[in-house]
Amino acid sequence: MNLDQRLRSSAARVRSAADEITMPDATGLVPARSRRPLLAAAAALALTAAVVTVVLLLGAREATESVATEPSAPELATVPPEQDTYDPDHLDVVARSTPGISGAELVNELQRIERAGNPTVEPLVYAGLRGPFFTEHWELASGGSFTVTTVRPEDLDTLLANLTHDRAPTDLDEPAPGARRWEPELVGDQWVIAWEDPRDDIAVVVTATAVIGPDVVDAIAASTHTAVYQPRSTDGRLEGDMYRGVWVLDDVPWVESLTGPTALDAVIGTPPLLEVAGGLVGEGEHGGRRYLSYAVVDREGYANFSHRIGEIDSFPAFDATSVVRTADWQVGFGPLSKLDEPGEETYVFGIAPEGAVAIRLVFEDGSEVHAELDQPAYGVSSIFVPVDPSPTGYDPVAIDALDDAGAVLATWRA
Amino acid sequence: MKQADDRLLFEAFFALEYRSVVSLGFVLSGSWEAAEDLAQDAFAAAHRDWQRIGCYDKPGAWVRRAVSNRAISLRRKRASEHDIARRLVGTSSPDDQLSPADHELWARVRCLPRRQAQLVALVYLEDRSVKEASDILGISEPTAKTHLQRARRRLAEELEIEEQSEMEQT
Repeated sequence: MNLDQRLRSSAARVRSAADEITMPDATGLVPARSRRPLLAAAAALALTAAVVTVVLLLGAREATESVATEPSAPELATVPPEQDTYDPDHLDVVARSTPGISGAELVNELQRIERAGNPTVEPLVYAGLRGPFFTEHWELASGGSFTVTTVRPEDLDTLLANLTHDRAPTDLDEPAPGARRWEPELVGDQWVIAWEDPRDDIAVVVTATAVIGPDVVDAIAASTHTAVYQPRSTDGRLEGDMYRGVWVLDDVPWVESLTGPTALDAVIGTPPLLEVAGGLVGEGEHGGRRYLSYAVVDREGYANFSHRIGEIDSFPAFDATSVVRTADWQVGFGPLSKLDEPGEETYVFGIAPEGAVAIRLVFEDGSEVHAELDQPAYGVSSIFVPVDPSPTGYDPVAIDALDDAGAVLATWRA
Repeated sequence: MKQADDRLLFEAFFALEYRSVVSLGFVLSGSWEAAEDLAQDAFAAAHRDWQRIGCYDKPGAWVRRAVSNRAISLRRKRASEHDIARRLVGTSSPDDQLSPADHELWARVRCLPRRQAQLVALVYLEDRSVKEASDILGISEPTAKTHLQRARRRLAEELEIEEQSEMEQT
């Protein structure tokens, strides 16, 4: 069986397997009002089974307040529980906020959305069963999103027992007064801090995805690879409903982006131009695996674009040392990084000016490579370009951003 | 009346495309649960802007592009959560129909560079032409062909099987 045959036969089995998937009701996807019965059922399930409510808070905050207060992780746990009860008419959710927005503010926002009945606001994106979890995913009108997951108490214990262990953050471990606390856990990319509310059968798990603020970003950008901000979350930024931030952990700036449907539209459609003023690339080991990450700092000092390049294991020829070139970036345009796969291709990330649809890489021997931008409207390039191995490596000596007509909009020179 | 028509159109669109889009999400994410999340997110976004997207010649392409763009970056993050969920609940999943060889094959596809993986999924899973796949991803056809050729070459090498490209023969 050759490759084509194997791919096609396996694809047929995947399609057949997909037929087993239960089709959700399309009306359950979006319109919040039409999901009232579903929510009511969920509430009944939650209450009658004496469930434990787990809140996986993926991030929520107001865009305009990203700078005002330095978030401190202990805020997560010190918000009095009585301020955090969200109980509109169908679901009792204990909500805890990420730094920068209190639980009470989050609740107010949810209630405001709920009361407003504005057809253009669709806070509840979907709800449904995922294994033993009943999950609701919310997109806040102010941006950000979070997921509420409800499990039975016995499942919570098992869940926590199965979490992947790593090093616990030192500053995120204060539970609410009187609460039972689990040790902070690392699940995938997120720290999970769980504690049990003093009230009956309520437990809270917050997954704190990183946030970053201008002061910290400046400090990070000014540093080299030695991150002095050991594991901590920093302030963040909203763009539409895309929320970005950074953890610095083991010298690696862990960059996370939380996206919602609006952000997805933006990625595909008409997002803002990103202007690069600096950046940082870091390499590290995390959970026994090596990663490389970078953060980009825009002119306002925010971590504005982020990408975890990937597991180095996936790119065996990867040369991390060739990636770092933060010092010579031009504002608005420049290569962020690349992954070399000798003899095959170079992987280039970049942020190009508005209107750019392609880039031209110029190499030391004078050869050129043209490549289209993946997401021209976003000004972001993550492209594969063929580059033959050369003694000088794969670093381009110049990169030009080109518009539709081939005119050079911006040039970066090594 | 138009609102009712839009709703009916969206529901028909959803019913027609959902499983196929989930399949695409699966081969690119490696998780049926994540695939369902990806599909629901994409359809929710389409629903939200249905007045615009519903007017496209191929709204399904929009949804597939959305899923393709998000699937790989979400793969690892979501998998950890849902793997736990699956261990806990112990229920059957569509995976049961797939052999270890199937899983290995698509895992290798997912290890390809992003564009290559997306193109393999669209061309083979959805049985689309390179032109159609390139339209969905918003890249040129020659670029798509290049990526696909590299993907095929690497897969053939890794799987130690003959490449035998039907597309190259035509």
